[in-house]
Amino acid sequence: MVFISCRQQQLASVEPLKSSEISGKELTDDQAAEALIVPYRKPLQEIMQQVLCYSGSPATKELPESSLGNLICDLLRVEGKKMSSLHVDVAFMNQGGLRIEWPKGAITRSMVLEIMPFENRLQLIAVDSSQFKSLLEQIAKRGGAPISGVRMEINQNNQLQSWSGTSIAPKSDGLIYLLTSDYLVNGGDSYTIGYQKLLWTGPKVRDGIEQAIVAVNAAGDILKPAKDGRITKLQSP
Amino acid sequence: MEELRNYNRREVLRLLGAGALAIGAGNIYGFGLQGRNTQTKISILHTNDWHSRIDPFPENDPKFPSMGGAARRASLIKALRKESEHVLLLDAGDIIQGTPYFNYYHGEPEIKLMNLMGYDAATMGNHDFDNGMEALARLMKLADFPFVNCNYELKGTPLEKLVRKSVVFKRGKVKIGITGVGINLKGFIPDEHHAGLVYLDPIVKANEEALYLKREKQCSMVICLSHLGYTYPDSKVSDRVLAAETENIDLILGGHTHTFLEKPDILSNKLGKQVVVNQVGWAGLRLGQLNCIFSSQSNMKSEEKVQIEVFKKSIAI
Repeated sequence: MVFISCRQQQLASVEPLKSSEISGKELTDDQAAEALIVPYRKPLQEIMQQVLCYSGSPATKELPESSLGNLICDLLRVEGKKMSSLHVDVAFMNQGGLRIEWPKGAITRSMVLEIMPFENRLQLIAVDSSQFKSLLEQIAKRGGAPISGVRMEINQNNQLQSWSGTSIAPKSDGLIYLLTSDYLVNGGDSYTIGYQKLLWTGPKVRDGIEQAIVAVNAAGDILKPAKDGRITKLQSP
Repeated sequence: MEELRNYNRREVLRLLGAGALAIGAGNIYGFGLQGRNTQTKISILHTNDWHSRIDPFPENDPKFPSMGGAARRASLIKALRKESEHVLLLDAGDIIQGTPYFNYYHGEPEIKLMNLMGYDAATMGNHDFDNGMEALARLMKLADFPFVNCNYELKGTPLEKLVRKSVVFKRGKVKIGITGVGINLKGFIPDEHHAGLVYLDPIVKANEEALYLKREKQCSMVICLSHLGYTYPDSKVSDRVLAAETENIDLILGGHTHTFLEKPDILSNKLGKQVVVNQVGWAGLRLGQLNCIFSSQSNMKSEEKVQIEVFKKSIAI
């Protein structure tokens, strides 16, 4: 790696790395570290371990669409309507913005916070059709993203092949109402989202997710994360 | 010289097949131990993007059931310290943000745990700016270890006196220089959270700093802690791009892209010398280890490494 005196040296022998043989089975929690953590963990546990809802299957993250991305955006689209009292045609998040996956079974407040730990707020913006298409093209270029209210096809070169809205309501202004986060509206994750007007700024994204799953639970239902082919990647040109 | 280097490349490949990895243009382990040649072994341990993941993932997590956890990592680090006379423990940024611990305590337990584990240095990731520079400055003051970065101009910001361009550690008779580079925060962090911070070209600044560490500070090895990201589909600057464009950096310990490298990359720098690039995923799931052996004849040469997965109940390799 450093050739300072290569000329003087000759390779003699090579040994395997001994430290790789350490077995974790002998390792337990370091007591000093655990003692440091406990006073921080205790006050959080009661709030964070509270079960808000149940999920019928794991919600995982992948591209072009994912059970997790579909679930979160579907929930936000429905909840966004209730919260804003406005129509929400499409809900969209960035792939990197959903930070963990959810298991089958109990969904705790901690899991909601960890899926979207940031302080970003929900925003509803009105976009025209070319602005919307530009967003879909950006999503296609990245090979997909969490979205609800639209079906789209991406070609092999990650270009938008076709798209259709699945819940876009006709409006007098002819615009599409897009729910996303203030982070993305402001150019976060290198998205460029043009829009005509800002319609509404809501609670933090994670609080919106929490409200949505609490509502599902209150209705006696469970979460059913699934892929449904809303974004497909074409295998042949 | 060229022949020797080729020979060593074959040796490296052989090692990869054996499940361990040795890197080096000089001799690897056990070479030239005749007589006066004394050796110093330094074990470099590193993490990146642990994102406030203080507790292990839940038992029913789809991807990482019961894995990770700071108390387990502390225990592992303690065990590894017993094996090696000389250790450097480093972090490549995004220490904070990701669990309720951060939302409630704003990074305090994370830094205290790093103090307890004995971290020697860290660089800043974009998420370390999530609560703004005043908040980050408070965490840096709490830290017993220095933060290094050479491509953020910080004059007039709360971080001005808290971040060093580089630090030099002496382990045995060996001096190791450590610098750091970060990504352009624009688009990642609200503007008001990095106001006054000027992003400079990480390749230019890292080269300058590495040259200074090698020439002026007489370091045997230069490590660059990087939060640029491992690689991108386009030509955007990344650890791989940095490696190819540098002259005096020996190791790049990366972060940001949460890349689980199964083994470190061995790349060629601008002068055709080898550079090692490593990154250990995220969330404190793994601890990287590179063992560097320095001899009085050659100053430094070989390495091997392992990545150790930190499980709740066990540590597998």
